[in-house]
Amino acid sequence: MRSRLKVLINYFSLLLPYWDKSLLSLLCVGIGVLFGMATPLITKVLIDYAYPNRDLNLLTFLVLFGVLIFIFQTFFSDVSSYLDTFIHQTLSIDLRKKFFTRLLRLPLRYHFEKQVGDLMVRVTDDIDVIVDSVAETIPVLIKTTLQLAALLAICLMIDWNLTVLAMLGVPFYFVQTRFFARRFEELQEKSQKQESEIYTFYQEKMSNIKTIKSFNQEIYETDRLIDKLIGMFALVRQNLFLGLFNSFFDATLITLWTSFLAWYAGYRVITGHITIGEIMAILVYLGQIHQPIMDFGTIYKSLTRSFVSINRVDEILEKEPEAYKDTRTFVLFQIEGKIKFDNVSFKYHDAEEFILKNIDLIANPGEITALAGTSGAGKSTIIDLILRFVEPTEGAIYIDDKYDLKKVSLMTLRAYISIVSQDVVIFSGSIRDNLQYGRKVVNGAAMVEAAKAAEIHDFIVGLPGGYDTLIGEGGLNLSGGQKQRLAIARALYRDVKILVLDEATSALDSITEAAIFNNLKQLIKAKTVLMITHRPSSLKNADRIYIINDNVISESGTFAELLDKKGDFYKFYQAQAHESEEEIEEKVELIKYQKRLIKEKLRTAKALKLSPLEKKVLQLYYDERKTYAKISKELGMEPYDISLIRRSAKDKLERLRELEFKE
Amino acid sequence: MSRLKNLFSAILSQDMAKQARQVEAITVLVFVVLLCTVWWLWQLKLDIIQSVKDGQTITVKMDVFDLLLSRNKEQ
Ligand SMILES: Nc1ncnc2c1ncn2[C@@H]1O[C@H](COP(=O)(O)OP(=O)(O)O)[C@@H](O)[C@H]1O
Ligand SMILES: [Mg+2]
Repeated sequence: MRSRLKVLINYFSLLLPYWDKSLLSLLCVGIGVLFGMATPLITKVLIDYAYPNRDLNLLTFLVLFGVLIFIFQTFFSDVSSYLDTFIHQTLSIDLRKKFFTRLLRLPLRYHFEKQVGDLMVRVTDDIDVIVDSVAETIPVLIKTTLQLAALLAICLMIDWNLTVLAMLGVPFYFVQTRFFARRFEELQEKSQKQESEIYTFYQEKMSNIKTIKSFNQEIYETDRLIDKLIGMFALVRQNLFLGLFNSFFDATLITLWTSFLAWYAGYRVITGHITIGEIMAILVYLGQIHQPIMDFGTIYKSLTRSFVSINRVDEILEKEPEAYKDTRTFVLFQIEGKIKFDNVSFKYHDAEEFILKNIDLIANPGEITALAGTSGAGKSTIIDLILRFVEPTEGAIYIDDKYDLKKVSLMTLRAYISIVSQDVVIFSGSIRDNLQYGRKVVNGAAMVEAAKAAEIHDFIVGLPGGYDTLIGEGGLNLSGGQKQRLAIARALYRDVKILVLDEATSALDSITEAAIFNNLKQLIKAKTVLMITHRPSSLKNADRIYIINDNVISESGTFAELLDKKGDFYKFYQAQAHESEEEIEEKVELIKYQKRLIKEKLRTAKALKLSPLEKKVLQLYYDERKTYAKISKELGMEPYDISLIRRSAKDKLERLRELEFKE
Repeated sequence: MSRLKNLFSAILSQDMAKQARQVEAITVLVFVVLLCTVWWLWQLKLDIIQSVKDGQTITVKMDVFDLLLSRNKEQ
C-alpha cells in the first residue's frame, strides 16, 4: 500500500507544470458545486415565505436570482471542462513522449523480448487509462469532497438528527466498494494482457500476409483470431456481470436507505420538528448526497484498476536505457575508421553457447573487408557488436586502435557508421524523406550522386513524382531489389567513415551489383567498408576476406590467397562459381527483356488510359445493361455519341488486356 | 450563419497554449465580477414578511443569503 502511494504521488507530480490551470479549474468546480446547491434552497424560501405571505416582490427577486446563478454556474462549469480537457491532452502528450523516447532508447535486448503488439497496447491503451485517472482523480476528489461538505453542512443546519442518521449508511457502501474494486483490478490485468496478445497477433499476421497467403492459411489464421477474440469476449462478459452486480448492490443499498430516510423525514414533519419547505429541501439534498459518495467509490475503483496500467508502463520506464549520452565516455571526433576486434567472444546473456568465439579481425580504412560464411554463422552479430547493439562477452573492439568501443559515446559512434542491413526497412513517406533520414543538413546534389551510385537514380526519375514519390504504406510498393538499392543510396548519402553492407546486394542481379561496386570504388577511397556477402563476384572486390565457420574465423586473406589455400573458401567458391557464369548470361537477357517490356507498357498504357467518361459508359452499358437511350439521358448526351464512346472505349480496353497478357 | 462558422473556425484555429491563457484571463475577470455581485447582493437588504403566531405578520430586513439559510421554526 505504501509503495502504491509513492507511485501515485510520482504520477500526480506530472500535473505540477499545470498547477495554475488545475487550480483555476478547481475554483470553477467549487463555484459550480456551491451554485448547484442553491435551487432547493430557493424552493424552500418560496414555499415557506413567498407563497404563504403572497409576497410578489420576493417571488420576482428569487426568480431573477435563480437566473443569475444559472448563468454563473454554466460559465464556470464550461471553463472547467475546457481546462480539464487541455490538461488531459497535454498530460497525455507528455507521458507518451516520455514513454516513447524511453522505449526507443532501451537496449536492443529488451526489444527482442517484448512483442510489438504488447508495446502498442502499452503506449496507447495503458497510457490512456493512466492519463484518465491521473487527470481526473484529484479534481473529482476535491469536487466530491466539496459537494459532500456543502451538502452535509446544509442538511445539518436544517435538521441534524436526520442527517446523522443518513450518514450511518455510508460505511456499508465503502465496504462493498472495496470488495468490488479488487475483483475489477484482477479482471483489468487479465484483459490488458489479452489485448496485448490480440494486437501482437494482428501486427504479426498483417506484416506477413504473403506467407499466410502462400500457405493458404487465411481461414486458419482467422479462426485463431476468433479464438482470441472469444477469450476477450469472456473477459468483457465477466466485467459486465461484475459491473451489474456492483450497481445492483449499490442501488439496493441506496433505495433501502433513502426509503427509510423518507419515512423518518415525514415523521419529523408530522411531529412538527421541521417545515414543509425544509423537508422538500432536505429530501432533495439527501437524494443528492449519494452522488458524491458513489463518485468516491467510482474513483477508488478506477484508481485501483489503473494500477494495472501503471505497472505495465512503469515496467518500461524503469528499465535502464542504453548509455546514450553517458558523460564518462569519449566523444569521437575526426576518426580514421579502423576497426579492430581483439579476441572477441560473444553470447546472448541468457544463452549457454557462444555465437562468436575468439574473433580477431581488422578492417582498415580505404579497404573493403568482406565477411563470408554459412548463414547463422554470426556475421550479422559482428555488425551488431560494432554498432554496440550488443556488447562483447569477452575481449574488446577498438576504433583507430585507441578507443575501446565500450568507452565511446554511443551517439558519436553511431554517427560515424552507415549501415545497409540485411532486412532493409523503408519508412512510409517520400523517397526524398527516406534518403534524407537522419540527415539534418540537406544536400540535394549529394543525394542524387548517392542515388546514381546505388543505380537507383534512373528508376526514381522515371517515376511520376520523381524524388517526391510516396513509398511504403499507402504509396508505391518497391521490390526487394529496389528497396536494397534505396537503402544503399541512403547509406552512401550519409557519407561517413564506416560503411557496413550486410548482404546488401542479395536481391540484386549480378549486373547491377557489379555496376554498384564499380561506382563504390570511387566513392569509398578513405572509408572503411565492411561487407557481408555470399557472392563470389562481390568477394572479388574485397581487399581482405574473413571466412566465418562454426563461430570462429576459419580462414582469412585476399581472394587470391584464399583460393590458393584450397580450404573452405575454395570449396565454397567452386560450388558457386560455375552456376553463376551461366546465371549471369541468363539474367542479363532477362533484365533487358523486362526493361523493354516495362518501357513499352508505360508508353502504350499512357495513350490507352480510359477517361472517366469512357469508364462510366462501359460500366452503364456492360455492367448495368442499360440501353443507349437510358445512358444518354443519365449523362445528358446524344445516344449516337454514347455509342461512339462505347465502341472506342471497348477497343481500348481490349488492347489493354492484350498488353497485360503479353507481359 | 456564415459569420458563426467563421467565428468557430477562428476559435478552432487558434494556438492552443495561447487560447488557454486567454480563457484563464477571462475566467479570472468573470470571477471578479462574481465577487462584486455577491458583495452587492450582501448589501442589498430585502423586506421579508414573516408570519408569527395568530396569523399576524411582521416585516424583517434580511439579505438573500440569510434568507436562504434561515430556519423558519415559528410556523
Ligand atoms: N536476439 C537473438 N537472441 C538469441 N540468439 C540470436 C539472436 N539473434 C540471432 N541469434 C543467433 O545468433 C546466430 C548468428 O546470427 P546472425 O549473426 O544473424 O547470423 P548470420 O551469419 O546469418 O548473419 C544465429 O544462430 C541466431 O540463431
Ligand atoms: Mg545475417
